[in-house]
Amino acid sequence: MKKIMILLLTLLMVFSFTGCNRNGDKPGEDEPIKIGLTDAFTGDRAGNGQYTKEGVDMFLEYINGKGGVLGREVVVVYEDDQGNETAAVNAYQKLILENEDLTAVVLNKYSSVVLAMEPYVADSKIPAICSGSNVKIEQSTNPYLYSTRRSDYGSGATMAAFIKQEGAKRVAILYSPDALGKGMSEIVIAKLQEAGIEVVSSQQFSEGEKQFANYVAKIKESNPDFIVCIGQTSETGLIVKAIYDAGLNHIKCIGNSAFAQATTIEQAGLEASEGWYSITAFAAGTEEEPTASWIRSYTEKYGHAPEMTSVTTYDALSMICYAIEKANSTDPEAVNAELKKILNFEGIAAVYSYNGNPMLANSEFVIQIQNGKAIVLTKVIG
Amino acid sequence: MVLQLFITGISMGMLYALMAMGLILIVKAVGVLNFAHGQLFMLGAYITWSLTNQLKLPLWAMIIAMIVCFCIVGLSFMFTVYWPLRNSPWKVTVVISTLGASIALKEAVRLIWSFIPLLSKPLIDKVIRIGDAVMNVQYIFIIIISGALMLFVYFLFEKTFIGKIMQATAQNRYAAELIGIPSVVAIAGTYMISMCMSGVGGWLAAPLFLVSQSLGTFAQKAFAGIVVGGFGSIKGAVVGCVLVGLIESFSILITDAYKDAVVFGVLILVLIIRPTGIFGEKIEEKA
Amino acid sequence: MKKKKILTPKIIGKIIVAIIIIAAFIIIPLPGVVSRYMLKVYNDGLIYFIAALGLSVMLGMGGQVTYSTAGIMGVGAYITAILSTKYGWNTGLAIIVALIAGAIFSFVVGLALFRLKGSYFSFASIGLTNLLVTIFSNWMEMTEGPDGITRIPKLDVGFMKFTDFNSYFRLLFIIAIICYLFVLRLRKTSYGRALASVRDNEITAASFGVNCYMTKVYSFVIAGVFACLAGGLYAVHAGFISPEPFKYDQSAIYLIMIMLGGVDSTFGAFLGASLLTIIPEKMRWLNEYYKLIYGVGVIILMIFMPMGLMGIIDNFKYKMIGKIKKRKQSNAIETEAN
Repeated sequence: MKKIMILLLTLLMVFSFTGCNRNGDKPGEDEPIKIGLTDAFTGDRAGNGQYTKEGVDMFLEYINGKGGVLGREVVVVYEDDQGNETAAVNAYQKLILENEDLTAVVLNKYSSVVLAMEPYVADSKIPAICSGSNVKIEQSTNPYLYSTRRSDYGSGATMAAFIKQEGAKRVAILYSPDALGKGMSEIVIAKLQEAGIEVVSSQQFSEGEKQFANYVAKIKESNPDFIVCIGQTSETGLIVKAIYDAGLNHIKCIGNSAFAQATTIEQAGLEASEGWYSITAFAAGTEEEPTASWIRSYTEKYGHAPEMTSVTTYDALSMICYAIEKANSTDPEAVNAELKKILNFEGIAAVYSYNGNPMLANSEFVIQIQNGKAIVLTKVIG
Repeated sequence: MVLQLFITGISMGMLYALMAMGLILIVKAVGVLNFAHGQLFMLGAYITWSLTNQLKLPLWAMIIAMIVCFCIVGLSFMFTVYWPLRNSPWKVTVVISTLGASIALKEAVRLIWSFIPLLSKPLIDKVIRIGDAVMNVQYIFIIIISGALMLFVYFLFEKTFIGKIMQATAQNRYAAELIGIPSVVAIAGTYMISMCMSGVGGWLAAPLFLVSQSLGTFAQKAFAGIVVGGFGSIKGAVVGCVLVGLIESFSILITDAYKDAVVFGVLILVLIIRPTGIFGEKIEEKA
Repeated sequence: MKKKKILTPKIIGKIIVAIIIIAAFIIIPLPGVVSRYMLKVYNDGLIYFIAALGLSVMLGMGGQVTYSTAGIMGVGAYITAILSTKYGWNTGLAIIVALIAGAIFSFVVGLALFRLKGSYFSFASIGLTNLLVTIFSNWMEMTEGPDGITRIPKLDVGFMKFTDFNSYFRLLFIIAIICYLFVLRLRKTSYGRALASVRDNEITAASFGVNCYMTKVYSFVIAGVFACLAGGLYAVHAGFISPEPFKYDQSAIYLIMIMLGGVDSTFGAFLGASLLTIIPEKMRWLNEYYKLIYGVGVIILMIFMPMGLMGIIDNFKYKMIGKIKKRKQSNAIETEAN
């Protein structure tokens, strides 16, 4: 009797799941163009996903309002990568295996997540545009991988140059335990040492850390005249606040792009974030066009300012659609070939060109937070 | 810097202790660990955030509302997760049930309040300087309130009749029922007090760490503290948690990245060398 | 003269089961039968099943609640990954080394942890998993920290290379069946009985001469080896590992798998593992609410089905047998009365 039950159950399971074969027909003339997208929609980094989605919606409204691309509607297929590498790999595979007619994919800004997905991108031969900035992305020979950012090598060098320009002699660094933190801190430290500036303290905080008082105490001990912090938006607000609470905010502080975003400023508060510098691809307080108008319409539509990911996603989608038009086809290979020909494409956040490596942007801003807004000090190109 | 490490350690330790006290009460009352405890702590933070920022209640009103809410939550939690399983011979089922509850609670919070971390204002938004060290005034509140709650619980359990009833039910439910003690009431009371403690902990911690779903991870350190201090007693839980806070804090002198490894390593060491913890009761085995 | 029945119902049952299993083995990996993505999910399910089997030995047979499964799976995965990426070892060899290392590691850790009883032991196992995860996340030089290790080579045992999901399915299927038969057999050995006696009543077991301490340690070693095997297979199958799948939360899921399938049953481990891997995929349409329903489902499961699915099936079976017996009896009485 028991055996019969086992048999029935096994049969049930085997047959109930054989019916889920997905057929990918090549899309006909009236089928929508499908672009895949993975981002964190749940988990600690889910705030990022929300901004990304807002960027996507704004783009789709715009492009489909113009009649779509090649006369077809553009549709974005989402998968949640939960902001961590393992889930991202699964999400990407699901996206690719379940949708056989994707033209391209947009990935998120977390370098470590993108790097984990990279081998699968190479296998699937579908162009993917991310917004991660790690040097390993720049060095990747994967012909299908792109990024809307400038690499950390450039940002790190800019950061070090800025610090040198401000006349600092003793620098303390605090960085996150992922590709971003490790990668960027390495570059900054190397450049500082080249310039003869002493790095008096270098600390890596733990994953998921919330209590920064002790790290800050150690920084205080080392008596720096400039503090560098590198992290993701889940902890940057807390870091800024901790430095302020310890009474260290008379010391000049600079952070990576996460430190310039509205979320960070909000979490840390006006007083704590005042005076912070940052090297960022996107500053919501910029006056440049077409960025400023775009920011205004975004704010009007959603009631809050955009974050970097909203804008890079918008630009990534713009470039993909542009490539589709140019190639007059949705075949991933053809689109990929067109992406490689991009030169001086005017996006919202930057002007993009393909220069032989995945990084499509080569400019960034040096900003300072004044009165709760990220004000552009200079623009760095190259 | 040593002073700063000390202060941070004690502050974090008292926060863990607040959580741990709630946890120990449940352990003593029903004999199994509540793995949803971290989520109850987190829930406390969210509820008080809503009361303060959405309903805009003044402080005194909010505290009353908060306690009422916590009691309701504590009761519902008990009736759904523990009560139907109270007579089960396999203790594992209760543990798994609390695991399910922790997943469900985390998701429910996400659905109601979304995943964007919420900001919460501390009671007094200042920072005091003690020599070279810096301490958020909020931590002083945490220490005072933890201490007060600890005294309250001690008083309740040792000196009052109601406390004696709850203790009796915790020690031997069957015997207590024989004497005529309504175990439902006693256990419900324990759950409510426990929820109030963790909830208050969440309320106090929120301004320092942002109201988000990752607040639940504090429970792991609270667990460690309970084990280090001794599984059975509240006194042990508090001492253990403060110790854990201090160890975590001072570990930065040796390492920056391996902070958590040090804490859990110490936990395992303590378990091996002295399983009963510092104040624990001897583990007895009955045939 | 009595004819000896060769084809008893029991043997027929076994043959049918064997046919189903062989059919599944052949049919499922054929291209087009299931989508490539579902095949990957099945493979994941088989890997989790192997880990769950180890836990089933400790919990179902030994009565020890442990949260160490995910952590030790991580040990196996990381050793395999590091040996094959950083040091260029052959993946098959790497997995074998991981197994040996896992056994030694589990033995030593088991010796330490089983000085504790009951809940204390469970606590310690949580501490162990957290400790391991912290090491995985922070020992950058070896484990690449939270970024994880990418491009783990596919399994290559010299004469056979496993490159796509289909071949992995066949391999995992066979390994899973071997492990399953092993555990099934284990129940019947004297060790299996000793372990069960420790679960039921430790003091009585001791009075019968069972060395409870070492018995429990051996169960931990068995669980550890299974977990390391699962970990190594996971590493080569997924091609990528990070500390994420080896955290404490995942250990909780293994426990739920065992409880769902039926804590007392080895087949239950299979049911639990496969359902808990496949159902979340099917439930994606619930989107936002799926994890909430999952959590509530676990609570309801414990309240109404504490013995898991196999428990329900066994109950059903006994009821049916009872009814059949009654009917036979009443028939017999009737024929007698006539």
